[in-house]
Amino acid sequence: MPTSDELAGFPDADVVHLAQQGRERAFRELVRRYERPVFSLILRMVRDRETAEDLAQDTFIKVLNHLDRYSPEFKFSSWLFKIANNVAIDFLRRRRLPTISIDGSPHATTAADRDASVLDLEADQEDALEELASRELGSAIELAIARLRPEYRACILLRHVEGRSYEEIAATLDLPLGTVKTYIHRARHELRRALEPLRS
Amino acid sequence: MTPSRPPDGSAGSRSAARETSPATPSYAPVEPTVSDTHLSPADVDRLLDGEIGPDDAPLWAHLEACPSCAAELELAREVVFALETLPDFAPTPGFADRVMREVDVFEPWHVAATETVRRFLPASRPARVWATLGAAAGLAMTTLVGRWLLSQADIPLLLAASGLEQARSQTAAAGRELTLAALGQPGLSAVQTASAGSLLLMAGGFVVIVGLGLVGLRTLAIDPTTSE
Repeated sequence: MPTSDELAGFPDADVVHLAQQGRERAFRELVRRYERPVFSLILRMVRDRETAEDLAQDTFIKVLNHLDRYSPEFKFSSWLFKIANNVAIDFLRRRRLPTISIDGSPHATTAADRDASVLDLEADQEDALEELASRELGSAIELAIARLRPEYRACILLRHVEGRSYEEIAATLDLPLGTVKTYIHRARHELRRALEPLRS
Repeated sequence: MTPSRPPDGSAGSRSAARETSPATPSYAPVEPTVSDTHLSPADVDRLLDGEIGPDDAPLWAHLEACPSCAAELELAREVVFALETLPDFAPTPGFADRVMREVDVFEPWHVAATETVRRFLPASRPARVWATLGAAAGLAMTTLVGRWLLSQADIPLLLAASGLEQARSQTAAAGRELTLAALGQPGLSAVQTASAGSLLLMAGGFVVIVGLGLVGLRTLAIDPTTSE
């Protein structure tokens, strides 16, 4: 069994093969290689460090416990990012489910009561984003990314942060190639518009 | 000529301009011309992705002549640069350990067997050669000793057969004594003369009678009306 230092020089496919043979060191090497990119991707998707860590952990547990299902004709990292993205998107969808009426409480009897119970989602979200930008991510580009639609965000992060090709992104996110190009085009456009004022 | 931007604020569509312009006759000399339309967002994307080739000379010429489009492309490149230089975030220390606690590391049997064998093999090649020679010599010696032992095995085999026969006859005698004590001489005679089916029937009947007797005794023991 190669040492940890030797494993660091192996290509993904070889490390995965060793992990499939039950070599714990190979499992750890896969986690070491991808913990930061996967955690960063998920953090930028869900915008909460604690949640991102839980979801990143879920991602690795799913992937490493089902390595026997991995098909070597795909890149391991594409498979990993696919699961990470699915985990993040599932979380975002679940978070939307327990909704509160933004029009105010249905039990309010007067207009004043209804106004008082209105949930100011927009303001809350803006505050959270501002806080995130200043406290956690600390830059305008992070804030602009956080404001993108999740689908655009996943595409643009995979394209420019992870350096994936359009074809890889399409395979990773199970989207048609044309849709990926459109999403990236729109994401770039929105980011340019968001950052344009800072330039002047 | 000053390039004009469409009233909606978007850059003019280059592809649309291409569609409306008359087709260049094939015999006409091809010369780079300065395009009079601004870069479309699709053009900016193609430039960012490096998809524009030497055939797009008019576009390059337009970029040189149009500060507005040059600035648009520059901003787009800045955005891409900012994206590409975003830092990675690290999870809290111990992340890998927490993951590994939930992962089932399963080592297939053939891998475990190979690994065990490999552990006993010497690391260097000469040592492995010597180990192989030694193993071969040991195997040969074991074979020879085994063959010699087999050739000398007549007496032990005879003794073993005699011992087995003695054990069998003693077991049969003990069985006879037991039957005689339990059923008497008529019972023993009946058992000795009975067929295998009859014996099985008798044994079954004996078990049923004993079982019923035990159940009856137990019922009597736990019956509240008889316990006082």
